[in-house]
Amino acid sequence: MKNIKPFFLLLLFGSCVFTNENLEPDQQTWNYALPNQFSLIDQDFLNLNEAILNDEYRNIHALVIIKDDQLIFENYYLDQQREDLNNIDNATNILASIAIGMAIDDGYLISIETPIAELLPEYENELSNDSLKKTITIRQLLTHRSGLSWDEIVSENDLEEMMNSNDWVKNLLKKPLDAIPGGRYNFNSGASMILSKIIQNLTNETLSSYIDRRLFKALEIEGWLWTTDPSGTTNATNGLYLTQLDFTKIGYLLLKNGVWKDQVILSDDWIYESTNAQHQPSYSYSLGYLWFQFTEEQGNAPYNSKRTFYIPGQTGYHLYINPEENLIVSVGAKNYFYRFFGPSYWLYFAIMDLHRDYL
Amino acid sequence: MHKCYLGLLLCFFQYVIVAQQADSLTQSKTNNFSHFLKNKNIGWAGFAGFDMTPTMESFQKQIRLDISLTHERLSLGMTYSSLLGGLKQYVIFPSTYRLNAQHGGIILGIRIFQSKWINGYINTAYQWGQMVWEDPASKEYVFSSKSEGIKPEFEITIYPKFWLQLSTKVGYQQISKLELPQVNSADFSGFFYSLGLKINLSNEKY
Repeated sequence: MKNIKPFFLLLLFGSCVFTNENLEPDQQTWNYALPNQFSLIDQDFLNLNEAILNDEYRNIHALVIIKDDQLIFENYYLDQQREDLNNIDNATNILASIAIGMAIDDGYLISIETPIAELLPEYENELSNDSLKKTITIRQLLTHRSGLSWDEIVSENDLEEMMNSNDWVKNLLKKPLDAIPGGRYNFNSGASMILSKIIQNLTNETLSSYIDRRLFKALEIEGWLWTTDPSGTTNATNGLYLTQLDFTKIGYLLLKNGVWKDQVILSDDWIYESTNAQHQPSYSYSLGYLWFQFTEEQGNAPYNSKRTFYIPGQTGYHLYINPEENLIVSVGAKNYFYRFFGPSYWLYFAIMDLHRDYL
Repeated sequence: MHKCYLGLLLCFFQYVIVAQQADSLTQSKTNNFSHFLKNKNIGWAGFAGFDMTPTMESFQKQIRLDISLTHERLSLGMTYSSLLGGLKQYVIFPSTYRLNAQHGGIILGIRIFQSKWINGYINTAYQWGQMVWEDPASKEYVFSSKSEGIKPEFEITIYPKFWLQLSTKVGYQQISKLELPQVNSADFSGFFYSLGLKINLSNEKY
């Protein structure tokens, strides 16, 4: 009996062990579910996961799938973790589109037909060197049809030049017109800087501050980082850093027609207008207000994605919102050589194939 | 707060054990306390065994240790339990995690019958603790939640005349306040049974 003392010391130690773990609280947005709860096959998704792990879809960092309001897939690759902030590159543009919608909802802006010259008096000189420049409207910026000379697809010279300047908006507005505003499509992620400056002038706060106040706080997005240009204008071109789950929340808000926990964050009129095709610059995609859509002509597009809208960030941060399937696919990647339609794009197609087989 | 309470309780038991182990050379205070316990007919009992506890529509083995002060028919002490092996399942698909659980608390008991070979007790434990989903590869806790539970139980000890006895228990545990993905309090609530050895130095008279 004299040797029984260590036993009780052990018991004392044990009693202290069980309350010493304090972890971050879990996300509170979605319940967890398995694919098989939605007539999908778990093994298919395990195979897909294996393919990503084997780098068959190159440099995928994260994949999150929300189906019928449930989180059915969330995984991180290449040493990434849930809480990691990553630069979503030019998927940042979409926040400028959302901010314009919110500015209309809030009464800061009457119409997207407003010429930008009326909203940017400090750039009078840059807009005066061509009388047509003063006719550029917000709508034309949102649909990549401003007519400003710009090339970031063939070479990145214009983007680099803008990002090396002290005032990115000034750099953009100094560009000559190479088409009549509203005419030719020319992808210009830099143009979101003009939208950022417009929001700043309308609301007297930076785009990041406005989005934080109106969107991030409502969506409980707390960990974020947003860079600025040297003049202090929020970088709406490629400056936002988010976690993958927070990136996904933005898509979920739009899927829910702008309502988040019974609170209207963004009007459904704006969502409908901005996510539906305004014009079709390519056989493979149409464009809304910075949102992309699949086209009827694109033979290989998932047949169950006709109403899908998406933002294909150039390095692979893609967000697909598919109302037909009540589905969100959020992909994180770092692929610098594929432009829009790289591994993240094909990953979405593969996921839709899994739906196709068992519908 | 719970930790302090349990710590203090255990320190007290430590003291009781030391008092009971004290030999004739040990000086006054310890001896006095030992005599006090004997005079007041206070003894102690310990249980070490396994619970088969309800876990997601099946039973899972958990180690259980109890230690109590006893006075005539009553006992008051502390209990500790820890899930063994750990349940593995998809939590956030496609990741599989292992469930770990540890609880500790107070246990109150009363002897309801006594015979030559068998004693019967009714005990009730109130427990606080933590349940976690652990990444089996990294051993890191991914999600954790505090939980509480109440465990009324019926206990039979066999061959109660010896200080070492066989003990078997049947009871019901009601877990509450559990907030973990993929599981809830109801998944761990239900009937349980346990088997173990009991050390009974209770100064009971047979």
